Amino acid sequence: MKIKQSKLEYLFEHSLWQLRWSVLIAVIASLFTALIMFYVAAVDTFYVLEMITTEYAQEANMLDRKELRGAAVGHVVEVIDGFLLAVVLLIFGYGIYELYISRMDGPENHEAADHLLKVENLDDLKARLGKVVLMILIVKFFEISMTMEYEGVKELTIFAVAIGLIALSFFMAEYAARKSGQLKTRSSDRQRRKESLKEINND
Amino acid sequence: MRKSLEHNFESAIWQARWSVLTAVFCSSAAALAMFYVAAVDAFYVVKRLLNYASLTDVYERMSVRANAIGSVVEVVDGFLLAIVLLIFAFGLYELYVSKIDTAYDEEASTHMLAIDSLDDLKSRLGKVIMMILIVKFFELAISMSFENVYDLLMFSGGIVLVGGSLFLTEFASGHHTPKIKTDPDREVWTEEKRRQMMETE
Repeated sequence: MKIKQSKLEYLFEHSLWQLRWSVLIAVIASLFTALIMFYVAAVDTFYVLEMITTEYAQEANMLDRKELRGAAVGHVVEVIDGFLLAVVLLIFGYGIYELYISRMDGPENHEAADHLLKVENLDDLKARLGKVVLMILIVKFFEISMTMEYEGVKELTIFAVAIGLIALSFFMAEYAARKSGQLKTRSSDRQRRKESLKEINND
Repeated sequence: MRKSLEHNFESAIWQARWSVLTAVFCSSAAALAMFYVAAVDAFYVVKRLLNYASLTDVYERMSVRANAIGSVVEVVDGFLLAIVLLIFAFGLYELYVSKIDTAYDEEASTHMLAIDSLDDLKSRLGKVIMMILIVKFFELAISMSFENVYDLLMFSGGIVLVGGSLFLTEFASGHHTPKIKTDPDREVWTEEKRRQMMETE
């Protein structure tokens, strides 16, 4: 028996379904924010480099140099963090497009597709965002702790407790994230080749 | 018509991945800068320590020595950060742009091109942050003065905590992946050597 569908129902469902095109806004916006984050991190890098190349060798006073060095290390870590965020935004944009609009047919066989197009469902998107937020928080902690003054043994111990807590959260995130069998770059190719060589030798 | 529109749009957004190249360039430049910073530090440490033998006062020598150890550890830490930045740049390139073909058979590629996924990149950054924090703790501890037994006890508590956090970061990365070896080839080599010796006997 054929279920009868009224014209009204058809029209309504059809127009409702068209709403999914709004996801395109998220895709384009996400890609643009990724580009902007790359730009921001690149500008940061430029200024860190400028600071290091112009000031560092001239500063003969040890304490001043130490301060400069702490700032430089903090900025470098911040830059790397910015690039990570940008890459995650890129993956996010592609992921939304693939999940809710259509598969990307062209780049399917491209080398980089394994890593750029690997979002499998909505939870995956959320987990990615969560992990990158955690990383940014850890970097924030790191920056603050590098510029802070510590006086007395008590504060030193409290600092150690804070390091321990950060290590714990890092451990938990890492433990949740790592799955075996994710190897996909040169190193894994190499490993596979080594294993196959070993098998040949055994035969 | 619709198909070609879709195709054009997809290939346009796919081009956005080239922006990763900026990250590769910046990360390599930052790596070079960190090598430079650590080299300058090393130069000043060496320069300051050259007259160590002429310091006759014990206490003065002690303070110079503590300072020197702190700076040496800092230098090593700087080089570590630089190497991680280099690995990071290569990893980004290999993951998101293309594999580095010329490096495939180089001996060092096992360690330089060791990034397997985005999580791997993140965990490497996390580990280097932990290392720098620990070095910071070490520096602070070495220049601190302890007055009584409670201070000493608290200090040992801090050491245990730092040890625990080192354990946690190592454990997190070592649990699911093969154990990190400095040179896996050497092990194979020694194994073969031993077998040969057994055969000749």
